[in-house]
Amino acid sequence: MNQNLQPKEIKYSQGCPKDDGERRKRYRELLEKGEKLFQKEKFGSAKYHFDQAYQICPSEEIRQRIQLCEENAQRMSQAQALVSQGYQLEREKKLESALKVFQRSLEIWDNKEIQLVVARLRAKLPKPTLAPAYQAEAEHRYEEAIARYREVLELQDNPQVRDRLGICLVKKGAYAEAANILVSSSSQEPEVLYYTGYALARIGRYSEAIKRWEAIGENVPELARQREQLIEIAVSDLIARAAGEEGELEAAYQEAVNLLRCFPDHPLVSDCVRLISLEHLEHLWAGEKFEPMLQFLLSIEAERGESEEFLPFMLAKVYFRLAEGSAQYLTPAIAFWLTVIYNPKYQIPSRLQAESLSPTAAIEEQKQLIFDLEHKLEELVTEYKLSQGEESLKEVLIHWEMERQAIAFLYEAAKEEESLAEILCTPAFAERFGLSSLVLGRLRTIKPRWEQDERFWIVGASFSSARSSLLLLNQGRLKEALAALPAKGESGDDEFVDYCRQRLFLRLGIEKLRAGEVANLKKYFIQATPLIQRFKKYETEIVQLAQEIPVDPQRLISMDELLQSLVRHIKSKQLLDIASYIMSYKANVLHGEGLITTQDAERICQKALELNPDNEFAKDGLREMELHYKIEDMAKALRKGNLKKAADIAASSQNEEIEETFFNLIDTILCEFESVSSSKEKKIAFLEELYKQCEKVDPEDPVLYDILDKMEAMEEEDHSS
Amino acid sequence: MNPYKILQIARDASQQEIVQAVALALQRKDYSVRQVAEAQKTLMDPRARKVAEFIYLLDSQRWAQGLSLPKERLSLDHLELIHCFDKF
Repeated sequence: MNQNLQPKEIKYSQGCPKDDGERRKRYRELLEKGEKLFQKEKFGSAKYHFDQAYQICPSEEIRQRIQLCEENAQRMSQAQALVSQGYQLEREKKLESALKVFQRSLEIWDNKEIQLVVARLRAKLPKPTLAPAYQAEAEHRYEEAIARYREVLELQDNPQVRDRLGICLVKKGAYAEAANILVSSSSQEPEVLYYTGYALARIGRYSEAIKRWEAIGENVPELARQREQLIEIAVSDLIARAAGEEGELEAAYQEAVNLLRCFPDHPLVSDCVRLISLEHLEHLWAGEKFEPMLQFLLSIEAERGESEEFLPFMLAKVYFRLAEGSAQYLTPAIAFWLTVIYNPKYQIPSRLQAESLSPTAAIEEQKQLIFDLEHKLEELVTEYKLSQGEESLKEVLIHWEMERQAIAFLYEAAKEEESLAEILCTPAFAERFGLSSLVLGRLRTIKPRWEQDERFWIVGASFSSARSSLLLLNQGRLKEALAALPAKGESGDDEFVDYCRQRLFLRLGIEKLRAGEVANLKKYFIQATPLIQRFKKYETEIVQLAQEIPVDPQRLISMDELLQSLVRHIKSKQLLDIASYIMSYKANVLHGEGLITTQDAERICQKALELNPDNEFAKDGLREMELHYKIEDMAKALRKGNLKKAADIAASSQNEEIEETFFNLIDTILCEFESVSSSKEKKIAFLEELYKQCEKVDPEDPVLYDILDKMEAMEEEDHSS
Repeated sequence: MNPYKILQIARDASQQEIVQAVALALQRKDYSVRQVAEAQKTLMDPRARKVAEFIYLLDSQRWAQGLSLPKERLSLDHLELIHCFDKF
């Protein structure tokens, strides 16, 4: 059966008829029988069965089937009539006519038997040659040439003959058929390429036409002129098509884009693409089809992002509208919205300017509009923050802060450095459109004026290759931030990468310190030294951290080491003060725990005083050490029986603690005095000497009475004996 | 909510047109009274109107300014065959 006449698969209405089991069965039988007969090309009988089924349950599918049966029956009958005629002509030995009739019958109804007849007749007839075809073409008798070429091709396919046929068809004006034949040609002959292009142009396939003409490669002025003419025709046609029926818009756009691929720098073509794109966008916007609009814009971005100035403007609007419905669009919405509202290139032309307001008022109005539009986005972010919770929106919120800070800083700096106004954009926007290096270059021009302002470095880092690391750092994901940090010298933005590195190392150091992980602590802070040196707030943070340090010897040692290494580079007063304090505090604690000697403690305190001569804690410490020394000397003298030396130390100290210690020691001596085996005279003499020395220290101390009591007791004992 | 959509008015609608549009919008009852009132308030306030304009109108025509394009549709019939490549 002729494949072209096969009906589409029919899906008979399910369950029809529904009411009656018997009728349903009959219906099915009729359909099945009809189908079998249809397949056997018995269209009359098939139609009869389909008619019966249709009467039981009418459906569009069966109606189409019936119609197909009728059409097929009619065609078949026509073909059969031609076949009969063909056989008659063959019997009359009119072989050429018979062949034509059989071929016509095959065109109406394909039949294997007749195909064999045609082959048999062809073999009998003399083979057609190309000479008459060429001659007809040369004499501009294209219809005849076409017929001759077709005859040759029927016998055997030949690419060159096909090309000739196509060219003749073009010359005759049958462009669609010509294009159909010529597009499959692989010939690179200028003639074939030109006619293929021409045929394609005439059926509206402009870009394909141009490609063929471009492939000719020869510099032919006539062709160049025609190419320009075609571009103009194509552009006018595509614009008209885009403005016409809805379905045409997309096709016209696609064709215009294809044309632009051939001529990326052709102003007419690029203007055409822009106009159609804008019409398409306006159409989608009006229908609030934001998702398809976004997809369309993204395709423009992929195709020709840099050349379309309207792209960021449109993306800002569509992302904003999409973000109104879903938080997933917030991140790109932030980048585009902020860029578009701040950058003068995208701002709404001030209406006040049209109303003849002063430039100052116009600027003021523009600022107000920026504020209002930024506020609108902020409202959206806040809404999501409240509904979804800060934690789940953390990444977006950090992104929002970074983007806003960056653009606000650039906007402020642009007041002094006008060249910044041209590149006002957020870091994410710059990254997306490859503008980061340009922004960094402009930022460097304002470095002398702004380098003491940390915003300069934050913004620089957010435009640098360390951007993702900075984002992670701001989210508190320090290990990931460290992994994301680019290597030095990788992107030519080392100063900003360094800033990020310093911030990261400082944060890592502080985190370790807080967690009590003291190993290798110093190295983190040393890396961050330039940052701490440049910005006071980090120094203050370290000072506060040091002030909160718990009384733990190991952590004190680490903190002390850390501060010592910092003050070697940073000689600020607050850092020297805290370093001095921590050092003396450490000495005190370690000495108190018996972990260091008094001499060591004294040496540390003296060192602390070198850092801060006003360190009262260190001074107190030293005084303590001095007392300690005196007490030790005094005790030593007493142990050696050098009462005078001990009393002299106590008397000269003018210190209650030493005096008290002195008398406590004397008290101990008195307690042990009874047990000492010595002569009475010696004992009395010792007590007299003791009294004399104690009197030097404090004549009113009760120990003196104890000594006197001892002496009296001994004298009484002496009298009684 | 898009005040232009609620009131079904053009970008350059005058104050009088806005008032008329409010009456019609209330008759249509496509939106609540509060939404219509809010739309009117937005469009009557020049500052809020500029914001709404930026958010809700695409303003694509500003990007089409200065495009140099043919004014009328040119016919393909003007494209005549050139014969410099002909073999016959």
